[in-house]
Amino acid sequence: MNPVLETKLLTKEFHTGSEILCAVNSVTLNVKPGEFIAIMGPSGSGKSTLLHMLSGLEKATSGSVTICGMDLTESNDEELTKLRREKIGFVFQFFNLIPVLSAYENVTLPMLMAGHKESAIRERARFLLEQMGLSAHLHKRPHELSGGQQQRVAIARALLPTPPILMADEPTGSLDTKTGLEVLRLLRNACKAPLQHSLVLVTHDPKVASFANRVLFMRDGRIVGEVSDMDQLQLLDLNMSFSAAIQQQWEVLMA
Amino acid sequence: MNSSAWKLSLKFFIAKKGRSFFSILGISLGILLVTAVQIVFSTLDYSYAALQRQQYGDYDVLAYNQSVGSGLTTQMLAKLKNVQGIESLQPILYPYQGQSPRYSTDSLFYVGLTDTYLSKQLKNYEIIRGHFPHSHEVALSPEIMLQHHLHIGSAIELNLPHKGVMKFIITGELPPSSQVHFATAVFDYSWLQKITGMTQSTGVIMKLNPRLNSSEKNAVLQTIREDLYKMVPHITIDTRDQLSQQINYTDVFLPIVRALSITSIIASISIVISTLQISLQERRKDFSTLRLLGIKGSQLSLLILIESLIYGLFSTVVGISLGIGVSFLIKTVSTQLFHVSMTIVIIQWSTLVWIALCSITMIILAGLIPGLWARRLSPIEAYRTADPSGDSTNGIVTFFLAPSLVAISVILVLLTHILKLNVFIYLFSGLCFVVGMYMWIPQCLQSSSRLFSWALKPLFGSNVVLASRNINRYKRRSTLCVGALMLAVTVGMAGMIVLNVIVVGQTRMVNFNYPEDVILRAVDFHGFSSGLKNQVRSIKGISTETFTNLAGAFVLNAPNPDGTTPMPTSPKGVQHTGLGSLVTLVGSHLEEDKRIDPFQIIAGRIDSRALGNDGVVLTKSEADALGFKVGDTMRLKKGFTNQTLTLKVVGIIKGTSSTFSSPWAIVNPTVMEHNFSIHSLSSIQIKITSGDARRVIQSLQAFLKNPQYQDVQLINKMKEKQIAQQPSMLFSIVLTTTILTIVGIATLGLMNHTASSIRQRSREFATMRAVGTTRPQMMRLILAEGMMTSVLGGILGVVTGGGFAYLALLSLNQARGVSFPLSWIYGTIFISPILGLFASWSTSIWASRQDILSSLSNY
Ligand SMILES: Nc1ncnc2c1ncn2[C@@H]1O[C@H](COP(=O)(O)OP(=O)(O)OP(=O)(O)O)[C@@H](O)[C@H]1O
Ligand SMILES: [Mg+2]
Repeated sequence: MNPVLETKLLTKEFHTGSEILCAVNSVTLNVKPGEFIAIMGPSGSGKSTLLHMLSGLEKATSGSVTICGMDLTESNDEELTKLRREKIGFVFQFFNLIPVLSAYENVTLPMLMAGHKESAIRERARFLLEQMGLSAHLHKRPHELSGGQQQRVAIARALLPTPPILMADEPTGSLDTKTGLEVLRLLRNACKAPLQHSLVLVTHDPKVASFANRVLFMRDGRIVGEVSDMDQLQLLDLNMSFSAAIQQQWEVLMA
Repeated sequence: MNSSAWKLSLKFFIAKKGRSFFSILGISLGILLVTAVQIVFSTLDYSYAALQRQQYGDYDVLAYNQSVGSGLTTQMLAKLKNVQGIESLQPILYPYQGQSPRYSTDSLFYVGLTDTYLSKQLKNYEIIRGHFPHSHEVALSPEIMLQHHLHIGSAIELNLPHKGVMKFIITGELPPSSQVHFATAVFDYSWLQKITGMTQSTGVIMKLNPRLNSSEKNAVLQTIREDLYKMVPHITIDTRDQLSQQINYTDVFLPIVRALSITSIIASISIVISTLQISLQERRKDFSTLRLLGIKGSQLSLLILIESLIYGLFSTVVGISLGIGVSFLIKTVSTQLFHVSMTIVIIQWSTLVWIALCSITMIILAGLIPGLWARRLSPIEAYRTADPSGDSTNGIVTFFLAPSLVAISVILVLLTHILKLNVFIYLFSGLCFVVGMYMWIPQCLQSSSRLFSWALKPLFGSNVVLASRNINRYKRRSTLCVGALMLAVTVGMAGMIVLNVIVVGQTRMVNFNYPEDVILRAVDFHGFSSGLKNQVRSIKGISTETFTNLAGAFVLNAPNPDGTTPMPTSPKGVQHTGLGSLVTLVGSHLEEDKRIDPFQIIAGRIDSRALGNDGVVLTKSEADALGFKVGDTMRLKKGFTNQTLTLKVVGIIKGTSSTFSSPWAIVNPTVMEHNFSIHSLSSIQIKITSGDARRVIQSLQAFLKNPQYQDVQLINKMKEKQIAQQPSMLFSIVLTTTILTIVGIATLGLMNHTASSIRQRSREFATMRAVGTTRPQMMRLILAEGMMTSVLGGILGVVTGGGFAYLALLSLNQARGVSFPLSWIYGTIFISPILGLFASWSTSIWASRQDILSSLSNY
């Protein structure tokens, strides 16, 4: 299967005054359809910067990013906007819902602004909100919803255009453990057949990471380790569960 | 997509109802102002013209020729009547100046008129009492009737050419003559024509179609002039240019007020931009999230433009309707309070449509700036969780362009002054100065907020430091707000200064023409007893001035004996005869302090000692004609007697009123008594200083009931004076309204600004509260911020407005009369902090009452 997302020697340097900071350093990775990748690393290790480059929000200093065969480093703003609209779904730590719109309107607005008819998307929006357990809250404003509910609205919004890939930066960061796990379950379900969304998720939490198929560990802008649930044999060898392996790697990284 | 953009804009708009309301109110006020000014001035133009016509006669052309044998024939009149644009036309007959055989001292001027509306427009010949004369009937000037104790219904004998003496019944009274010894007799036109055998008419009065515009009118007048000159070569044609000039006086004010109101629109627009920008910054995260979700930058711009369009539509409708309402209000108020007559409110719908289109366009253009800003918004902002770090301004503009503009304007002013260049350069440099100051605001903001925080720290504590940081943090926005205030104060300052100059000039003109409110005037040469003077002086709240009867004398030693008289036909003028130059002597107490008609002493000095029993003061025209200087001795022969009199010229004066503009020699009244046995008075001029006008007139009328004073005529000038004062009075009303509205706009803007900028930082304030800032501390912080903004705006406005107004007046060559309205300057400096406090008061209360937890959370 062709990867949905591919990077080659992706590097980002920030010039602050006279200093040059290499926030992301020669990262090469690929994401297959339906794959759930978690990126872990200490604060300032470059996770968010990497995610921004993956979604075309930040221009790479060198290297390349390809989504669904389209090279982001060679695209202009218009093409990137179109790409974000059609190929990428975003989930944020602080939900980023529009306060003046209801849950339902928040979900449908981007598609409407993209020129879709409301009648064409109404069914699917309702279905998604229902799946997220929000059927009773369709017409509530964000401030009338709990944090978990808001995040589920945001996920429904991200899923509505059926993007091949979802990007989430600390989506559970503002939620309690239980609510966070519920949200993660919903996100993981989205990666399974028949939806087959790919998901790149940034987190500090090993428990969150254990939902992923593959966990990448970053430090000083580099990928310094990787644990995959495919490596069952290896894990068995070490007499370890997937989450224990993540926990162990995390402790090594933070030491 | 479009419908959803509309929906979203509307939702954003409704979500911030309070501030949307204030923004709309602010812009509406601006539009209101322009609308009201436009309507009030159209109305004024109309009513003033109507008033003038009511006062001085509603006709457009008066032509006459008194030389014998060349008049207008019936055919000529018929031909004139066919000229396109003439609405009506009536002939006039001035047969000749006759003399009443019994009263040979009086010149009587005969006029034959038709009994029509148009003829009644000759206000000097309008019958004010009684009815229009028919055959064997006449209407007379009141002087003649008073003098000879005649009434309506009495008979009088008059001498008619070719007919001899005829007896007439008096049927009507004409208005008082402008000069006592020029009385008029009005007859019926056709009867007079028949009786005198004159077939031609000697004059014609015409009225043009009132719907003609001024260029059409001028064309018609040109045709009439050409035709008339062809018919009667030496005809005198009066096209009432003087009257239309007076009407045009309003046109002087209109551009000024219009400029002021446009500036106030700019001020309110800059408030709109500031409000839009703040409200966008509040939604920065929403917008960047939308960008991230794939919405194009241009779509965001459109969203914002739609929002500003909503603002525009709302406030245009509100502003124009309120403007119409306010015009009616102004009409009522000025009619009731200031006795300014405005008959109907004239609304030119086409102008209103223009105003609406322009304001909507301007508001949309105002939305363009934040719209373009939204376009550049990076989607990555959606991830940012930090509070806004603030904005910055363009360094090149503030550090280089602004100071250079101010410097250029100063240099230009100096150059123009030294090299005597075109005065319009002053206006240009004034504009440079305003623009430069406006651009300089960020820099001033920075330095002055430091200064404030240093100066006010003892009063407000460390709050002030934080407040000044916040002002600087949102520099661009604070700049807009300070700028709006500055523009408001500038407009106010400039308006006040211009108002001062114009009103002072107008008042001077009115005082020249009407130094007195009431005149008591003798109808003949005998004058009246000075006892009346003492009676009049017993009335409270008036000041008086008396003139004795006049006496003629011949100058025997004039240095300039051939001096021609300035006004050869005037009975008061100097007449050159073989006996020497005739001068008119009049007695009046020139040395009295409070004269009604103040004069300017050109040479010499005037006090009771200098005047004494042999001092004389000459009016400038008299001194010029005779060639006397101060210190000269004047030898006079008393009338046709052989007695002589020696007087010393002690002063030369120039009248600031019409009284002393005539050629007169003024002496102490005792001189008149001793030398000419003149004890009687010719006139008493009365000015009402504090008394009730109606009561004064009533008392005067009561005095005149005494048979002793039946030859005294009362002439009331108050109505005429009021009409003359109307333009400047109305200008004051309109300008004051304008200034108040501008202050209102600025206050609303400041309120909006403070409210928005505090709400935007509500999380920040909640954090401060959470970590232990008390409510009063919070309030002080916000109040300090509002106050600093308004004080800075006020000070900058005073400086800029003063400078601009001065330069503008220089370019109008009016600067000499400039008095800087100090009260306005102090007022601004005093009021601006209060304005700031007022505007931020409600917000500070709101902010201090905010629930900490809900503000800390996201929404
Ligand atoms: N716009 C920027 N300009 C300069 N430096 C930046 C910028 N954005 C990020 N950096 C730097 O790049 C490095 C990586 O930042 P990044 O936000 O990717 O870290 P992170 O791994 O997401 O950290 P956290 O877990 O705290 O969110 C940091 O050292 C940060 O200071
Ligand atoms: Mg991060």
